[in-house]
Order: sequence, then structure tokens, then C-alpha cells
Amino acid sequence: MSEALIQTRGLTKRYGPKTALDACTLSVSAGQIVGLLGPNGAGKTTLVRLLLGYLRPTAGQARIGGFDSVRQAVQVRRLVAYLPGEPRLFGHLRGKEVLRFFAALRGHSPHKAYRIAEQLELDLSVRVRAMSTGMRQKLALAGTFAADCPVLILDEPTSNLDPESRTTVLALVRQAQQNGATVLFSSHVLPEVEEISHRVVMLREGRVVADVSMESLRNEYHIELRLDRSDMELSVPREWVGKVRVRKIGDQSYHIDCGISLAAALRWLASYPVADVRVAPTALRTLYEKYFGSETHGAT
Amino acid sequence: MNGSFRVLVRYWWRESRSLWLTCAIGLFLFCWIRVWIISQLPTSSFEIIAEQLWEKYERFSTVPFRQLISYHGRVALAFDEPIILLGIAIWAIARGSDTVSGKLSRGTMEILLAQPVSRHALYYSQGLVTLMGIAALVMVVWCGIAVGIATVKVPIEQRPVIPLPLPGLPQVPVPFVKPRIEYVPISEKTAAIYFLPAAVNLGCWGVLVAGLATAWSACDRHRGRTVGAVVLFLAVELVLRLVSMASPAWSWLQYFTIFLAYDPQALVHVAVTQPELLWAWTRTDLQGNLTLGPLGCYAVLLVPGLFLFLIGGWYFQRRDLPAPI
Repeated sequence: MSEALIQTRGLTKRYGPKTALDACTLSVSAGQIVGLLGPNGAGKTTLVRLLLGYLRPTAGQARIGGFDSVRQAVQVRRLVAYLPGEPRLFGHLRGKEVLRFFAALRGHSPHKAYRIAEQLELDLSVRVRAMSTGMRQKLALAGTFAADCPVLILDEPTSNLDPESRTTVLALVRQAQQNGATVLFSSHVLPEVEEISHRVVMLREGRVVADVSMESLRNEYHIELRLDRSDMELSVPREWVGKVRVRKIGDQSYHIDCGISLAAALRWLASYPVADVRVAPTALRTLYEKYFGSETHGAT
Repeated sequence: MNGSFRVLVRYWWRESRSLWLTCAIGLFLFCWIRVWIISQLPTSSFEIIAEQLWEKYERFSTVPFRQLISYHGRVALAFDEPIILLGIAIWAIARGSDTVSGKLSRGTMEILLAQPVSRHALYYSQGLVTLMGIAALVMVVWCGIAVGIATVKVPIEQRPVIPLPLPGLPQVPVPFVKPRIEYVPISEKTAAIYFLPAAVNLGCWGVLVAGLATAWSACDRHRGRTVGAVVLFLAVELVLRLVSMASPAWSWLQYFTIFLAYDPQALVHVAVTQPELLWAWTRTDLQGNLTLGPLGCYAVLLVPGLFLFLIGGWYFQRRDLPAPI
């Protein structure tokens, strides 16, 4: 991977006694798609707003393309196309006028935005105030994807969209990445993140609790196991400590998270009287539940 | 002006033009009609009423009684009409309060700052539209008065005269004959140019109100609160002005009100009687006290107004922008 396009170092934001983001250090290489996950209030939006210079950090710094997010905010925003979580647009304008306004501010022609709007089946002759939430989301998406920026920051880009439009949006994200864009996007829809991300960053109470590549996640799996005898306990070989985690979920049943080869794991388990065994790849949901447990509200 | 600044200015104008047009039409018609109303009430009847009340109400006036019953004075009173002040204040407060807190309340700040525009450009492009709007509204007010003066005729009582047979002697009006009413253009009694200083004074007052609304907006996130704060400030200032004029014991309060420097009638009086003082910072009032001259009045309103704009811009550049409510 090439040099980091998005970089934060010890980025912290405090509001009085409350810490919204705590010493976040993150580095995203050019061309990566990074999914930002976490329950509500985890600090995702704070991180995005700090990156865009909407907020001033209490400590640390954020840079995009080498530009400081606070001191060089305009240069940063020239590199970034941002889709807010709940895009509020200008009610008195028609869809076409909104896209023309955005294009004029970037010094572009609006035709690419019109094309994307057409792909999303959006009627641009309607005034924004008469549009449904989904239509407004599509309009904001058209403006964002048409900006042709090297960095895309998307806050829940598929919320409020019908399944067909979701597919189109994910295709647009992939296409942008193939054209060299770096994408940072937050979502509560785990299968979507799993489908398109190269990497997932999880935040909890303002801290980065996990930063895993999807490739390594796809190589992980877990085993559900039931032993024949109740007087026996599974014990993990010393050399696998840290790579294999065993959790007892019943009298004779176990859940094993494995970071070793499947053949080695099966050889190890062959020495036990196994009554039943099931092997499954570790899904993002499993990882999410591991960190957030019962806090999965909102994640689908 | 760079490209995005121009785009923003065009957009703000487009967003606010219906409000501006409403204010402009209202102000123009009001000023015109106000001059026409003057023509419906002969000066002589106004003189009788004013003479009887003058002793009681003299302290509320910054101009001599003669000016109040003249056509200059009666037209100048239009600048103290609540509708004129309201028209300017509506524009100044609506635009000023929308600058930051309005956009934060509606949530459009988020998407605007997602574009490659600086906070300075976003702020000062709106300030420019607000100030240009005030300047244009003030011109509309003056035009309304000028059109009124150009089109309205006033009744003048004319008594028949007896020409004396000897050359060089004046004509003598006949006192016992019923006077004849003649209509003459009001432009023969006054001129629109006399009201320019008052219009400029009104514009300076508008700049102060807009500066206050904009600066407050830059610090707040609720537009309603911004509007409420500015309206409250104006109401308190007006009460201070009235109290300071009503009682000599409270006259020191005048130094705490912006209305001290809003004195269109006095400026019209200066334009008519002492045009050489039109560029003076100070002058002496009716009681012989040193008071603000036309330039002083403009500066006392304009300088704090523009300073408030700058303070707001400085603060907006540094503040956190919260997520939409």
C-alpha cells in the first residue's frame, strides 16, 4: 500500500468532562476502503468532524493529504467529498439547482452529478422541500460522488435507501475506489461493510478498540464443539495462547475462536472425545459482538 | 473576489431576494404614501395642534418647533416611523441571524462546509449581501420620499391681492376675503436632497443592527435565540432613549443607547439650515450643548456595526460547529 492519505495522531476531543474521542491514532492508505463501526455515541461522527475541520481537537492532530484539518481546512475539503449522516439541503431549490450549486463551488460541470442522479433514479425537477428522506439522500449522494475527490467520507451512505439504490451506492463506492479514491465510511449495516471494506476500525467510548483488515478476518474462523464426556476440559497448547480463545458455553460445549490453520486445529481436537463439531468463518458480526456485546443496537 | 465567493454571493442573494423585495416594496410605498398624507393635512392645522402641545413635548424633540411644522420637518418625521425602522430591522435581523446560527439550526452548514469554501468566505459573502441589501433598502426609502416629493401637490391658501397703483410698492393681500386654495408641488417647499443625510443615518443604524445579529449568530446555534436577543437589545435601547428624554434626571442614560446617534430629523435640520455642517463630527444643539454632528452620528453607528461583523467572523473561524440538532 502507498503512503497514508488520512492520518490522525493522538486525536482527542473533550467536551468538559466528557471525552468524545480519546487519543485516536489512525492511518489510512490511498486506495483503501475503511469501514468505521461502533455503537451510537462511540465517536465516529466526532472523528469525521475533526477530520473535516468542523471541530477543533483538544489534543493531537488530523491530516488529510498532508494538510492539517484545522489550519488548512479549505485544502482538506478540496480533497474530500463528504456525505453527512443526515444531509440537510436547501429546501427552496430544485434537485438540479442543488447539484449545479455544488458543482459551481467546486468549479466543475454538473453533468456527472446529473448522470449519477439518473443512475439512482432521482427526479431532479422536484424541490428539495418536497422530496422524501430517501430522495434527499440520493441527491446528496449524487453531489458527493460527482465531486471527483481523492478522499470520500461517507456517513451512513445507504441509510434511508431502497435495496436497489443500496446496491447502486455500493457499486459507486467500489468504482470510486477502483479509480484511486480512498473511502472512509461509517455504517450500521455490517454485511455492507463486510462486503466492500478492506479494513474495519471499531470505536467504543471514543477509543479505537479494533483495527483489522478484512483479509485477516476472512482467514479467521470459529469452532462450535461438544465433547462426549463431562469430566474432560479443553486446554489450549501453550504455543497457541493468544491465537486460540476457548469459551465454555455449556456443560460439555465450547466456542473456539481460531487464528491458526484449520488442519492444526482439527489435529489438536482429535485428541478429545468429540461428539459434535461445527466450523464457520468468523463474520464481522462475530467480531462486532465480541467488542460491543449487548451494545449492538442499530447494527444490522 | 474568487469564484466560490461569487457563487456564494449569488446564492445568498437568490435565497433572500424575496424578503428584500417585500421590504423594498413596503418601504417604497410607505414613504410615498407618507409624503402624500402630509399633503392631506395643511400645515396651518398642524401648526395649531403642535403649538398647543409644544411646551409639553419639546423635550422629546431634537429640532426646533419651526422645523416640525415645515414640510422638511414633516417629511423627516417619516424616518422615525416604526414601519421604516421595522423594514430595515427585519432585513438586518433576518439576514444577520441566518449567517451561522440559522444554518446550524437548519443543518445546512454541514453540507455547505463539505464544499471547498473557507469559513471566511461563507461568513463574509453573507455579510456582503446583508450590507448591500441595507444600502439598497435605504436608497429605496430615499427614492420613495423623492418620488413622493416629485409627484405630490400640497394645498396652499392664497388670498386675493390688491395691486397698489404706485410702481415699486408690494401687493397687499385682502384680509376679509375667503382664501383661495391652490395646489402647488411639494417640491417647491422642500427637496429630496435634504433627506439624504437622514437616509444615510438610517443605513448606519441598519448596519449596527445587522452587525449585532450577525455577531450573535456566529456565537450561537439557535436562530430563534439570536433573533430574540437582538430584538430584546433594541427594545431596551429604545426604552433607555425614551427615559433619557423624558426626565432630565435620567438624561445620562442617552449615552447608553444607540438611538442617540440615530437622529434623522436633526440631520435634515442641519441639511436645510446649516449645510456647511454636513461633514462635521460635532455640532451644538438647541440648548447650546455639544452634540454629534452628521459624521459623528454615522460613525457611532457604523464603526461598532462593522466591528461586530469582524468580531463575529473572528469567532466563527475558531468555533466548533456542532452536528445538526
